[in-house]
Amino acid sequence: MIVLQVLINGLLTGGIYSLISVGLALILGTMRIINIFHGELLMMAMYLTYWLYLYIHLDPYVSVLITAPVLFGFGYVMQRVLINRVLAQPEVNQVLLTLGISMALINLFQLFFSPTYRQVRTGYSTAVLAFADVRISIPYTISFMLAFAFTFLLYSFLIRTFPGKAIRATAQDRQAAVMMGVNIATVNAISFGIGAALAAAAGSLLVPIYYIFPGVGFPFAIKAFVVVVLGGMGSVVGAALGGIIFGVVEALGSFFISTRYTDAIGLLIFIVILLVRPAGLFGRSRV
Amino acid sequence: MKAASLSRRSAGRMQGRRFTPMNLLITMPLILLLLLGVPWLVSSPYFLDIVILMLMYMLLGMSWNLLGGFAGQISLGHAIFFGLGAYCYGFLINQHLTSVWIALASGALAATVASIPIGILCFRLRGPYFVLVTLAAAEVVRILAVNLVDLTQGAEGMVITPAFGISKTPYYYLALAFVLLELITMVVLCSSRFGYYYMAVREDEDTALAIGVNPLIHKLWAFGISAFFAGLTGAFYASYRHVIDPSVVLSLERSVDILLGPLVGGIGTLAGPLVGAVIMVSVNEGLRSLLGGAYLVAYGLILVVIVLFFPSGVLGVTQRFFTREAGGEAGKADEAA
Amino acid sequence: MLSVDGIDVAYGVGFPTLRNVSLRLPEGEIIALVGSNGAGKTTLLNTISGLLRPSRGGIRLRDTPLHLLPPHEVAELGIAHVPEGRKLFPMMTVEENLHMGAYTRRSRPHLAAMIESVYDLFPVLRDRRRQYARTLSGGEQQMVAIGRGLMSMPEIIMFDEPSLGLAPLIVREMFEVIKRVNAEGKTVFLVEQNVRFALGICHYAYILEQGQIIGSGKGQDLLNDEFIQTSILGTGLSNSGMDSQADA
Repeated sequence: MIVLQVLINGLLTGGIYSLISVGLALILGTMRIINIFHGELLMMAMYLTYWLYLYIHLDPYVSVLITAPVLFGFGYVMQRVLINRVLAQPEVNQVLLTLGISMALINLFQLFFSPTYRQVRTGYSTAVLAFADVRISIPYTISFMLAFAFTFLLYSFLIRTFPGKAIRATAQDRQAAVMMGVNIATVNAISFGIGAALAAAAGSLLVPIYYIFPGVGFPFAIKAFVVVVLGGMGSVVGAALGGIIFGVVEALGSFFISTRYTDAIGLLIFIVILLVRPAGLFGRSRV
Repeated sequence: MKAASLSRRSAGRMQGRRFTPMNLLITMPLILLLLLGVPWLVSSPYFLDIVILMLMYMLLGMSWNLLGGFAGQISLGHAIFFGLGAYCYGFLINQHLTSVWIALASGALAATVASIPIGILCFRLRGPYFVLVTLAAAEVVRILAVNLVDLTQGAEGMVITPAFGISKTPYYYLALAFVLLELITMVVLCSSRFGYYYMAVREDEDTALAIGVNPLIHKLWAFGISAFFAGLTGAFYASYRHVIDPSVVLSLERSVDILLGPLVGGIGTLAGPLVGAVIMVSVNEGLRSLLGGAYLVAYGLILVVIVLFFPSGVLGVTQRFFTREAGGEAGKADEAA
Repeated sequence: MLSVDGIDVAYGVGFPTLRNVSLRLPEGEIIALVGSNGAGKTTLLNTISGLLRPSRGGIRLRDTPLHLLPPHEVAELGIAHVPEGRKLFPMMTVEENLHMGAYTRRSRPHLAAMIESVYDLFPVLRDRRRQYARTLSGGEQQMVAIGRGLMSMPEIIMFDEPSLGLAPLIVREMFEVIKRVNAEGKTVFLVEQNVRFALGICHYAYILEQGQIIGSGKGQDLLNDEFIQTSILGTGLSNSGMDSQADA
């Protein structure tokens, strides 16, 4: 029974991992760039959610409606102003640029808002649903369902709308997309904005169940990197499934081995899978 | 300057009259004499410490550069080897298992041995995916170091018996000797056929394979040699600082520091890591004393500025001014993207 | 009328460079560009599409200077490019590929009607419309590429090596389609190594060798020209021997 509990916890956490990873995969797919400061987008959204709760008592789940658009704008501008300038450069420069932004953001928040851990405790933060021995956290469940909904929304956007198709086309063949009349600069900036908005949504969803501090994003980003590699070449669907799998595996691992190694277990599993399937678990997909 | 000329020669581009062997013969002893005299010239322990730090980052920078610059494999996990060397040294010394010298060598060897399985794993991926997996590998090692308290004393850190007393002078000479050893290794490597193999692998792996250069074997060699020197530097660091903990020797910040030198100096050049280490350590210390807690913000911003405005490093920029072939190697690196 | 006026194009090492290239695409005609492999034909098309910038000279569509526009605006002006190697979106369905063809603002409102007309032109695509582009045969892929080009309702459509890698029967079919497209009033710019075919259906042709236009004339005249027959047609035929191409 307790294993079932562990499985459910892993699944629920995995939903958040999916949401973070999907945005990263979108950026990686369209621009072939690793966004090291993806976790800091999440962190900023968490702070924003925290302040919204503190000053205008906005529920963290409702604040997604603010954090996602704000971070979309931030991502859009960052892409236009900074990222766009290194897209044609060697990858070491791309990595270092996003790394530099990551360092600057973490330390900027540390400087202005101190490294103190903060938290938002809503009325439902500790609420659980109990089925026999299995207890399911209500905020985790809400976060999971919303994460799932956002991922599905992204999927529909990519499959059904013209801008979504343009993003996929760009990821699959940039030159051909240009010939079709796609403005690559806009597609890149929008993809980055969407990636940032998804990270922001994940950040807001994490607030009721997690701590907020300047370095909070980085471990999540590392997990998302792993998930994206697992999911295969910038595949959004792969990243969504990979996130869930990662959450479950991590939960099982820390249950059977030790919670102290929670963060290392996921990464180790990743390395093992890499040995077996270096191209990722799922191969190529539509999005 | 001497090294810069060598780097160009290694790239198959003999540049000019200024760097003839005769000139080298005269300038080398002069430079050596100057370097040997540093402890007398720099009397303040604080400044000697900074010089030692510079030498350390030269060691690490050259090590990273062999892999990242010459073989084109961008690692964001180089702290693994630095940390491994440091912990290996600390463990051996604290358990009174070996002498200082053997512990130093063991640190380097441990890193080299570890580089083989890590390399075999990470080299399964290319490009951005390689970067990610090195980063993940470093995180695994850091988390292990935090939790394997029996071996490492965890996050509290390991206190190590000092090796050569409190004077900084012996450490300076030790570090200097290591830098010379590594520099000579790099020069020999780059002017040998291995240098060409690495460059072939960097420019195009598939073509390299087609002309009979096995990329994996050569990447592993580069990785091993690179890890050897990173491990040696880690062991040296442990002997010098007496205290090591995972957040210092195994953090991502450390991995970033390691590649900043070559980045600033010029990736893929012999002199780049040397010049870059001097600049980065100076800037780092300057910022730290000037800005206090805000220096890490500035550090990140500097990274952004370098990438945006000086993507080929200081040597790349000066090369553009001083050589006919504007942009030389740096330009080639840009095209390779 | 699209006119290319004395353009120089240079890019990257190992790519062909164009020198002082001029040509005209009068409305409603088929204009062919022939020349051996590596002569710079694709470079010229990419320059017209705006993917490359000429360092000298200009390209004009009536009075609009194309060489100053970004590529997506060139597409918006009604210039379609069916690229060499087809460059379909491999993980998109046939129908999605066609949708992307109608991406421009000018063509998007007519999407449904255009798709029907493409399916009428290539009935086999109607059956394949839910299939991923990369699962199609070479001939079907070329049909999608041409269909995708037509979806933008172009005024001018440029074909880059449409016969490359196709079986002889399908090549003939492709040329029939190109003639039909032209008969519907579109200007066609046809780049081909298969010189005999190209000269056979075009109104006028230019010969590009080593980045320069070395001759031009009516297709039939060029076919009968002795110089062309020995130097260009000779190489042209050996380069485009269909058996070897079918493997490509």
